[in-house]
Amino acid sequence: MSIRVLVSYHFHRDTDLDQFVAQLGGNVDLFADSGAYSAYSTGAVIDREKYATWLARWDHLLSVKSNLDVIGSVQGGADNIAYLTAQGHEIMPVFHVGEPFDVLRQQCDEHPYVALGGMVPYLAFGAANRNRAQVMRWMIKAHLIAQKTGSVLHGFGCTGSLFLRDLPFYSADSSSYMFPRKRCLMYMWDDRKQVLRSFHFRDLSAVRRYAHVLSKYGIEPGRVSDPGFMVSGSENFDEDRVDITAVAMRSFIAMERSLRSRHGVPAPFEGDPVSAVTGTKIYFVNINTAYVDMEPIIRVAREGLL
Amino acid sequence: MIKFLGHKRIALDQLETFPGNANIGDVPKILDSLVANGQYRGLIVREVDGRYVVLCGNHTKLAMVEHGAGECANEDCMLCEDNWTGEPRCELFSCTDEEATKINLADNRISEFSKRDDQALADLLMSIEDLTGSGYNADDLRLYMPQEPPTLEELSQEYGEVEDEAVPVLPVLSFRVTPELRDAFLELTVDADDPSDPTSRFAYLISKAAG
Repeated sequence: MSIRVLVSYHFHRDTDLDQFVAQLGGNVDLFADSGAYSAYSTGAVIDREKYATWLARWDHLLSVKSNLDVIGSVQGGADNIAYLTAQGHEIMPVFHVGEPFDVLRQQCDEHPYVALGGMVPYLAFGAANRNRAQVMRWMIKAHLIAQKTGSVLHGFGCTGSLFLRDLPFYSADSSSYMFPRKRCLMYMWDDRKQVLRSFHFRDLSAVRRYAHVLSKYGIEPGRVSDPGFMVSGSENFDEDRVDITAVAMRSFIAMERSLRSRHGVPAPFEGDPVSAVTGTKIYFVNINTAYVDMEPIIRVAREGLL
Repeated sequence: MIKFLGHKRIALDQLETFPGNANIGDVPKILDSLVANGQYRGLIVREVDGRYVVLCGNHTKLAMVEHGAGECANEDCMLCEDNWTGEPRCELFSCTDEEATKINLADNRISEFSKRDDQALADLLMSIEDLTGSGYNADDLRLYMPQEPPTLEELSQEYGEVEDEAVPVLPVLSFRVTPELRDAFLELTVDADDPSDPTSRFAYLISKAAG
């Protein structure tokens, strides 16, 4: 049993992560993030001492610890990484869109594993299509810089399949596996074309078109196309939400397997057989421990697909 | 009750296709397979009132008709190689009309639930020298073969260089508003530097809001 999950301090500061991991069967590749971006967008501020304490508290569970980045301040991020490192943590720095590439050059000189961040506004809500060429140029340059030192890259909030298909990211994280239950929007991995197919499952013609893919990832198309499927307030609402989320997760795991086979990015660190594997790896972002958030992860973890 | 009656060779002109068969098979592809592989599976035939009705393998039967009852001109034809005299091997059953329909439906439907392991398929396609008669062709082979990702240098050539590294791309704000809000936005920002540019209007609004 194993699964990759990204948890952030912002959302999980009070979560018992021992219990969280135990629920998932114990063998979890757990990525720790400060959640600075989420905090910033809601006006909250993250205290670096408390973040350091949180990292230390759950150190035995964490395979990756990312920096407490400071939006709009390269120096602020650098100060935080120095502080957290002084506390004994091996921290992954984050290079943001808009920062000078010399910052990334220095990060790659000093770290084997660096994250690219701040891309979400350029990729969200369909913006990826409009911005694809520009974002791609920026990501290519970042990879060329990382290649020189042999560092590998994580893409925060970047599960756009076209970026991941062409670029050798070591890892990325996805919250879009929650889109089916939040927006009725499915992302289904097409192994043959190496792309994610997206469609609204309230659109019956789309369900018919992608019926074979829905079956492949564990749900009967007839159930999805039933007008009573995932209706708010219905008896089966939660179960439907859990099942459709699990379907999306299986699709992203298939995507991970396919990308790993395609890129074969060596692990930047040594560790257990779950976390220190060849990339590309995909982490599922989890922001709370409610039933509909946890149950799909628990079920998919039990299936041992990784 | 469905009862197996035995194996029998039955002349093509005695075999009736299943009335109302909903499956539409690819007869030329099946004929290619018959030529390359011979008849590797018997037709499933119902014997009823002295008639022989094909339950499964209707398009194989049609491909055999297309081939013809005698030897063909292709000296490598595996169907002819198998002492072909226009009498396919059949597995005979007796059953009711309802059972016959169910067998016909099941045979066509259940294979639709199959899932394909693309990697295993790619391995199999690579393991044989000649794809003829397999149902696959060279285009399929290219399609299923895992392709190498482009190199970073190739990508860099395709997409070009970052022009201004400090501002690689501008964020996009996109949202729907009511007609009233839209009109209010347009009225409040009519004095923007460039009223024809929504970005200029938005910047003007922000500067007003910031005092």
